Amino acid sequence: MDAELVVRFQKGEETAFEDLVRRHMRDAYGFCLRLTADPFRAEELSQDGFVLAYRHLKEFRGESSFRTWLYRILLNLHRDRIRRRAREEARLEVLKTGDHRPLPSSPAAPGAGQEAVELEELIRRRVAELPDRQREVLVLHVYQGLDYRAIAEAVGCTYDDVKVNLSLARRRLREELKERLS
Amino acid sequence: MKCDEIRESIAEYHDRELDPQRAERVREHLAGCASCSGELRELEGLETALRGAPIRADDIRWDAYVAKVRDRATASRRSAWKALIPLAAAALFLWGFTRVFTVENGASLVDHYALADAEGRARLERKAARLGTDGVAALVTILVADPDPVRQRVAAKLLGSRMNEGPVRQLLVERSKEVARQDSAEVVLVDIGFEPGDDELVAPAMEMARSERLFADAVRILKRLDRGTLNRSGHAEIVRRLREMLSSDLPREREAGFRIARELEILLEDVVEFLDVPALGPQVLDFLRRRTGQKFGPDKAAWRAWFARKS
Repeated sequence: MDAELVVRFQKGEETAFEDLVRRHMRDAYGFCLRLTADPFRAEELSQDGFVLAYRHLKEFRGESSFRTWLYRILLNLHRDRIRRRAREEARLEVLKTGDHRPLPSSPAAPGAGQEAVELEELIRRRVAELPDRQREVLVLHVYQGLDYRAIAEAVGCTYDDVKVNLSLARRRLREELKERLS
Repeated sequence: MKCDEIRESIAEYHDRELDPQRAERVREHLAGCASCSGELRELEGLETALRGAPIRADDIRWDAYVAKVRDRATASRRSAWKALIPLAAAALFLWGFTRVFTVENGASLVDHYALADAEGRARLERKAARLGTDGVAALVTILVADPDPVRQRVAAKLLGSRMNEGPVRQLLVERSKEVARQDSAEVVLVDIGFEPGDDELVAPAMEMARSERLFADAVRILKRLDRGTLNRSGHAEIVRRLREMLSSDLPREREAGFRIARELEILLEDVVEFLDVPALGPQVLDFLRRRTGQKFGPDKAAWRAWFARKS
C-alpha cells in the first residue's frame, strides 16, 4: 500500500502524500514521543519529518520501506536537535530528580490497580532514561515492531549493533525492573 | 547445543530473527532445559510489561495535524524555488555569471543532509568545508533567508566554523542586512527556530552588533544566548569573542567590544586598558563603577588590583 502511494505521488498525484501522512502519523508521533518525552516536541518533530519526506519523496527509490525511511528521517532530525540543545542531559537530570512531566499514558485498564499504573509509569521513565542508541533500537523494536534489519537501516548502524544495543537495553531494564516484574 | 550457545541466541529466537534450522535447534533445547526456558520466559515477561506501557496519542487533533503538514510541505516546495532567487542574485552580484551554476551545490548539501546517515553526513560536512565562495553564499542565504527552519539549522551546521572566515562573515552581515530591511534582525536570527544555546548564533550576532543600525537587535539576541543556555556555553563563546575584540589592534573593534560588553553587563578586566582612551575612558569608568560598586578613578593600577583581589 505504501509503495503504491509513493509511486502515485512520484507520478504527480499530490493527494497520495496526504494518504501516507494519515497512515503513519500516529505511529510517527508515538515514536517521536518515545524519543523526546515531550508531546509538543513530538508533534513538531513528527511534522518536520513528514515535510522533509515530502520534499524528498520524488528521490525515494524504495530500497527500504517508506516507514523505515520515515523513521530514519525522524531519528536524524531528533539527533540534530539533541546535539544542538544538549537537551538529553537536561532531561535525564530532570528525570533523576523526579521533577518530570510524565508521558501521556493510555487510560488504565478498567480494574487496574494503582500498582499497575505505577508500574507503567516506571517503565516509561526507565525507557526514557536509556542511552540514546539503546532507546532508539528498543523503541523501534518493541513499540514500532521493526525487525533487526529495518532497525539497522533506520538507525544507520549494523545488524550486530542492533543486536548488541537491544540486548544491553533489555538487560538494563530487567535489572531495573526486576523487583516489580517478579 | 550447549546452554551457553542457546543463551546467546534466545533474544534472536524470541524476536524471530534466527533462520529456521537454528530456530528449530533452539526450540528443541528449550523443551528439555528448565534453565534456558526460564530465561526465555523472563524475556517474554519484560516484553509484555514494556508493551503494557503504551502512550496516548488521542489528544492530538489529527485533521489539524494533517493540514499543517500539508501547508508546510506545499510552502516548502514553493520556498525552495524562492530560495534560489536570492541565491542566484547573491552569486551574480558577488562573483559574476561564470560561477552561478555551482551555487546550487550549497543548497543541495542542505537538502541531502537530513536524509543522510552518519557516514553520509560526515561526507557532506567535509564537502561543505571545501565549498567555494558561491556554494558558501548559498548556505549563508539559506541560513538568513530561508523560510524553512529545518533548512536553516542544517545550513548553520554545515557552515560551522567557516562562519569565522572573513569573507563568510562579510557575506553573513550583508545578507542579514538585506533581510533585516524587511524584517527585524531578531526575527531573522532568533525566531527562525534556533534555540538559545546555539553557539553558532554568537558569530553572526556579534557581526550584527558591529552595525549601528542592527546593534539593538543584536544585543537582544546576544542577551538570550548569554543567559538562556543550559550549560552557559553561549556565555563562554560570547566572552571569548569579546576578549578577541577588546584586544584587537583596531580602535573601532575595541570600541564595539566594549559597547557589547556594557550592554550585556559582562564585566571583563580587559576594559580597564581603555580607561585612558579619550573617547572611551569616561564610559568605561562609569561602567566599571556601576558594575562593581567601587569608586576608583581612572587609575588603571587600582582597578587591576581590585580585579586581582576579586579573582
